[in-house]
Amino acid sequence: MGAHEATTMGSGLLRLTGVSKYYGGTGALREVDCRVRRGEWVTIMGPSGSGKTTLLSIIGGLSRPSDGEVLFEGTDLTALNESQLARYRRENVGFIFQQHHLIPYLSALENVMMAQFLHSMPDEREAIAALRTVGLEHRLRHLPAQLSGGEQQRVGIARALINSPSLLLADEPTGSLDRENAQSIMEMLRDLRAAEEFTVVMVTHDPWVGEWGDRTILLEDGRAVTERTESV
Amino acid sequence: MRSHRIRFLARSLGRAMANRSSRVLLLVAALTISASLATALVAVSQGIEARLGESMRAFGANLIVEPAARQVGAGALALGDVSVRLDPQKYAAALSAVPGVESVCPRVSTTVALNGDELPVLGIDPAEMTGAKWRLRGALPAQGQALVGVDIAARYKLSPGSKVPGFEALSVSGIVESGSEDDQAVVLRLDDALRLTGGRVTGFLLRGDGSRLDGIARAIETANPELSARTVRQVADAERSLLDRVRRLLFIVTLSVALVSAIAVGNTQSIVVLERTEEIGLLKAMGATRGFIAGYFALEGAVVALAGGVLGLAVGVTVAETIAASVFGATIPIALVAWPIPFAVAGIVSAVAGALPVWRASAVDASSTLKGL
Repeated sequence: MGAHEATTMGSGLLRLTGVSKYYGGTGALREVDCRVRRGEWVTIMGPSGSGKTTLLSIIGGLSRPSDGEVLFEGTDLTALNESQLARYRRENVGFIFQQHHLIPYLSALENVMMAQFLHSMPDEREAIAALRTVGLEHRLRHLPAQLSGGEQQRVGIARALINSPSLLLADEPTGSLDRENAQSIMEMLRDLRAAEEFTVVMVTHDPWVGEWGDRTILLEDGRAVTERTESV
Repeated sequence: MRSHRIRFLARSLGRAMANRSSRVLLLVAALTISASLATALVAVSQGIEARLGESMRAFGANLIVEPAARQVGAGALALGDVSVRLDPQKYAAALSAVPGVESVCPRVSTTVALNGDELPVLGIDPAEMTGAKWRLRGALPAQGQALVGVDIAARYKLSPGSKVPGFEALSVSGIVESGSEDDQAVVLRLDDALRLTGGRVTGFLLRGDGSRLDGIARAIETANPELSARTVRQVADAERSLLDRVRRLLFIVTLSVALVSAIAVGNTQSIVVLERTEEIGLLKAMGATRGFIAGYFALEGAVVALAGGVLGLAVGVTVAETIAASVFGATIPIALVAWPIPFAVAGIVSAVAGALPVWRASAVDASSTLKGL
C-alpha cells in the first residue's frame, strides 16, 4: 500500500487504492492511496515528473492504472471499458487544462456548446449564461485566438462546468497566466465551487495555488508522501 | 431537440473544414478527378452506344456504297472520301441492276469553308429526308431552303427563317437531330448540293433485301471494284470498335487516377488527423467515444466526397461531351446511369483511403495528447 492514506470527511466521492502506473519499466505512480470526499477541494502538488498529471489522468478516466483500484461513487473505473469510461467523463468530469485547449475554429460560445453537444444537447442560452458567469458575455462570438490567456481559461472553466460535473479536474489551470489573471481564475473557481458544490482535484506545482484547496497531497517520485490540510 | 444537435454538428463541421480549406480543397480536387473520369467513362460508353442505336435507326437504307477509300462514321454524312466523287447516273443504274437492291439514293458529302472552319455539307433528295427518321423541327426544305443540324443551329444561333451559314442565298426551313455527325452539317437539297460538286456524288444509300445484305454487298464490290459496300451494321461496328478502345483507355486511366487519388486522400487525411490530435484528445476528454470520433471524421470525409461527386459530375459530363465531339464527332445524351457514378466513386475512394486515418483518429490517446499542455 502507499506511504500515506488520506482520511476522509463526509461521503466519499473518489477512492484510489494501491494505484500504480508504469511506462515500460518506469514507474510514474507507485501504490498511491487517497480518498476525496464530495465537495472537497484537493490539491496535488509535487515536483516535475512526480506523477501529478498521471494521477489526474487516471482519476479522469483518460488512462488506466497498471495496478490498483479507482472507485468513483463505488464504481471501479478500472473495470470499465473504453465506451463506459467515455460516459463516465461525459457525465461526471470537467477538465481544465493549463493551455486551455479550446477548439481554435469555434467561437467561445461554440466551445462551450461542444461540451453540451457531447453530453446531451447544445443549448445556446445555457452556454451564454455560463459565459456570463465567467464574465465573458461580451466575447461570445470571439475565436480563441482573439481572446487573452485569462479569457481563454475562463472559456475553459465555463466549458468544464456547463454540464454540472460532480468532479472538476484541473491541471495547472493558472500555469500559463500572470498573477493577476491567476488570482481572478482562482477566485472564480472558489466562488463557482461554493455555488455549485462540485469537487475539485487540482494539480499544481505552485504553492500559492495549493493554498486555495482544503487539502494537499504531495507526490514525490510517484508516491504520495505527505498530506496537509490548508488553513484557508 | 435532435435538430439542435444536427445543426450544431453541421456548424462545427463546416467550421472545421473552413479552418483547413486548403487541405479540404486538395481532397475535393483529388476526388473530383477520379469521379469525373469515371463519369466520363460511363457517359461516353452509354452515350455513344445510344447514339449508335439512333444512327442505325436514322438510316432509311441498310447498305452504304462509297468509294473504296472511305471514312469511318455512323451518319449519312460519312459517305466516302469527299475527294473521290462518283457519277450519279452511271452508278445509280449499275447499283439498281444488282439483284436484291430495292432502291438507290445518291448522297453528297462535302464541306465548305466558313470563317476558317470546314463546315460539313450533306446533300440528300428531299423525298429521302422524310424517310431518314431524323427528328425535324420546322419543315422540309423547298427550293431556296435547307436544313441545318442541331449542333450547327446552336453554334450559329439559327432558327427556321435564318440565313444558312455559308449559303447566303438559302434560308433555314428546319433543324434536324439524328444523334450522328449529321447534327453538325448543313443538309442541302440534292440538286443544290450537286452544284457544289460539279454534279458528282460521294456515295449512295441503298435499301436491299435484308435477308441477303452480305451477298448484295459482295456482288456490288465484285462488279465495281472501285466501290466499297458495307452494311449499316458494319459502319456501326466500326464505331463500336473505336468506342471499345476509348472505353478501355478511359478505364485504365480512371483506375490509375483513382489509385493516385486514394493515395493523395489517404495522405492528406493522415496529415489532418495529425494536425487535429490535440482537438481529438480534447473531445475524448469531454466524453467523446471512439465511435463518435470515427463518425465525425467519416462525416467530414462524406461531405468532401459529396463535393467531389458534384464537381466530378459536372467535369465528367464536360469531359464526356468533349470526347464524344472530338473522337466520335457527335453530341451524346448523358444517361441516367452515369449520374450516381461520380458520387459512388468519390465515396468509395474517400472511404477506402480515409479508413486508416479515421481509425487512427479514433485511437488517439487523450492522456498523452493533453499531458503537460
